[in-house]
Amino acid sequence: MPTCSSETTWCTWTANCTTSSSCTSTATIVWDQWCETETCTATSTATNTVWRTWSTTGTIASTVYRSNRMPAPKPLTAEEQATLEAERLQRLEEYRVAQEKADAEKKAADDRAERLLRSTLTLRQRLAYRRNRAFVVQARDGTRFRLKKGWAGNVEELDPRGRPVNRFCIHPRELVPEADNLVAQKLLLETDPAAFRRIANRTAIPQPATVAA
Amino acid sequence: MCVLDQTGDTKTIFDPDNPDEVEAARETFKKLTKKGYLAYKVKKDGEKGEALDEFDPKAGKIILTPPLRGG
Repeated sequence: MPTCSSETTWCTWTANCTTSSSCTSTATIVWDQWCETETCTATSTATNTVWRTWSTTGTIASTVYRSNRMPAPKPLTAEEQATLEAERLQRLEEYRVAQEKADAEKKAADDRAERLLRSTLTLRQRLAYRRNRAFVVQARDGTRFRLKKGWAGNVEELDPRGRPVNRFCIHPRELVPEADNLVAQKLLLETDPAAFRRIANRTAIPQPATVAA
Repeated sequence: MCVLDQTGDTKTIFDPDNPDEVEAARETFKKLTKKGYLAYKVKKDGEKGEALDEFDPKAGKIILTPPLRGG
């Protein structure tokens, strides 16, 4: 009578013979027992077994499965379900209130920054900003730049004909409202354009090809 | 004196004739410029700003911006 130890692919394989075999295994095996025509008794209590017992005419005594995976969850009572639902709704409400507060704070910050920006602009710049959300600044070295409302890549260097030739990406290290970003960029251009060029990342803007006459 | 930050800006209002208030503003100015903040003196109606290396209580409007970096 074969006795199986652990990690055995086939515990017992008999064909056309009278045998009684039993296999008791407590390990990870593919087949506990494979009998063709005989009476098989297979009792196995293994953890990860694909086939416990495979017999064609035999009588299977018992096969016990015991899995080491997560047990099936217990069904919730009506009271438990109601409690969970109430907690879920409360979390949703707390999130909604927090989100409203954050939105209000952001709007207040944006409005404040817009007021500061407008106070630093000339009348012409203010009108342009109101119309196009952009205005032109003349840097200390005479170069003109267009500043568009935004956070990144919002500064264009203009050639003498007013065409954009370079795009610059530069902004404060701390997150501030976009209007504050424009204030910082404008002031740096007006006072130290060399530092502006040194700090900013530049992208050349392709110019349209000129057709020879 | 306006310091740009997440709230838009934080204002420090001081009386140029009040030594205590001036000193408190000066300390704030020094602390921030030491951290890399850029200080400017701005005039009304969008006249070009001027860089400020030292705190000037008579400067009128002072704006401090966080240090900038390439994006």
